[in-house]
Amino acid sequence: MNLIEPMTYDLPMDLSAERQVLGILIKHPSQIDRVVDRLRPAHFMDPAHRRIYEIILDIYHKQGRISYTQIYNRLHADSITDAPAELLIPLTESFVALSELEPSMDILLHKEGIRRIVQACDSVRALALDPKNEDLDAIQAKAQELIFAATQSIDAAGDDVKNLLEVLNKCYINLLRRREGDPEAYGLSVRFPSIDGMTTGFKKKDIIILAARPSMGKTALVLNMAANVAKRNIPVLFFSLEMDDEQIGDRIVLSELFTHKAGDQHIVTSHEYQGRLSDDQFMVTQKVFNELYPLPISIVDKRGMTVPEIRAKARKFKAENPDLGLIIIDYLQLIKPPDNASRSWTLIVGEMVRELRDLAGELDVPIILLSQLNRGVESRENKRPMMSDLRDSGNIEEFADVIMFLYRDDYYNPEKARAEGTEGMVEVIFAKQRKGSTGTVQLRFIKEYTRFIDEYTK
Amino acid sequence: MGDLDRTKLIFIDTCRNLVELGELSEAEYYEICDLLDRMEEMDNEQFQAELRRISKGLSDLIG
Repeated sequence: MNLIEPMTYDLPMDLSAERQVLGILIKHPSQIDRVVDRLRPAHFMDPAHRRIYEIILDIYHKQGRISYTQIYNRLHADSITDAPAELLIPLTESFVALSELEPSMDILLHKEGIRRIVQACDSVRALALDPKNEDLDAIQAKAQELIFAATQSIDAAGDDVKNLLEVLNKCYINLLRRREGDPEAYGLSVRFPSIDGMTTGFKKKDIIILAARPSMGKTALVLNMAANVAKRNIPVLFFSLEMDDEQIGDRIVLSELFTHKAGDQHIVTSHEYQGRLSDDQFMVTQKVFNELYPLPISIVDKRGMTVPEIRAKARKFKAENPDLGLIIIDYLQLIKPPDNASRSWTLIVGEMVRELRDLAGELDVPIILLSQLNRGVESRENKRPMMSDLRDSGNIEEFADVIMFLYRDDYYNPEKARAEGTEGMVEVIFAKQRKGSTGTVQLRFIKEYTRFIDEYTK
Repeated sequence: MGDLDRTKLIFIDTCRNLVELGELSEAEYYEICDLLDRMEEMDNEQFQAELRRISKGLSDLIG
């Protein structure tokens, strides 16, 4: 096969089913309500059929009478054909029993679905073979976009409208499951009781912003969460735009080493982990490695990723891991914005967050998006972050389902913290929760082990 | 049903040709279209009477 030559083939179609649908719609115009959300003109392969369907839709939207005479006159006015009757007479010869509408529509949906896949493959082929396209990552991302778009069901419009009974049924089932103590009835637990208590678990389709000034422990906290989730065999996808995979791996190991003690003493200190370990220390560390090996955490460590690249990788991962439970992106300000210098930074950031929220909805998983806070916080006497601190970084708050801030008083007032014994205390401030209350909970941060512990929960 | 629709289409196509030939006015043509759309609501006599009112020549042609 010659790869360079354009491929020629007949696209799949069923002209008889096309005639049947049109014939039924003209004969029984009341059935258009059943069709209008499911069939687009592109579902009709014959150009004349497509035009007739467009005319039917137009008359329907203008609340006019749908009849052969009206369609005849529209075709005549279009000057598409000299013989409108010749296009319409074959429709009158179709078997137009109402019971044939659904099967004929299914045929059109099927054929059009196949055509879209074939056309997407053609586009991918042209894209890949175009010598002007040199960036492999960009080609792969675009190819995934094309294939994903072609394989999305467009026959889902009916799902948009749900009656209250349907909605309440789902709520009631969840209520029963919660009553029975079914953990699946809640959102995703991150195994920090104080955080889970505030959120009742992170909800699927939500975008959760975790924002703080540098050194507050954002990455450490989400890595702890990732490990806690993955220990229940729930896959986690971690996008690191800052640290490389080994740094992340070391942090996960260190965090787990914290739990291994001999009496009051840690067997391996964070400092020792970076050096040469004794045999005993090595054995313990190896045990930690063996415990961590099977955890389903996947890491993408690539700087300068764009939202479309993140989306493409997340879609691919979800396709391979349908039970994906959590996506973490570290962090927003390192995502490469689209090449559109004419728009303000606020709009660009807001758009990126909105796209990531849409991705959470599409993949049906929560996404935790880390965000850096700007220096404005430092200029205040009270350095606890507030919602307004996010405003300079775009309209994030508008799109976020949950906004959490981290604040460590010992970072700003070390003497005071030493005197009061509050070193390592971290305030997790819930500034916004679309589905819950706001408030503050406390964790302790063991910085040398990058480990958070929940010792304040009663 | 299919036969009636086909007959209507052939008839309307003929009327359109008569308009092109100047034998039928545009207004008469659209009245005939409207009549055909309402055809199922009337009996044969009513239809003939309506058609005769719009165009006696055409009515005589169908006879």
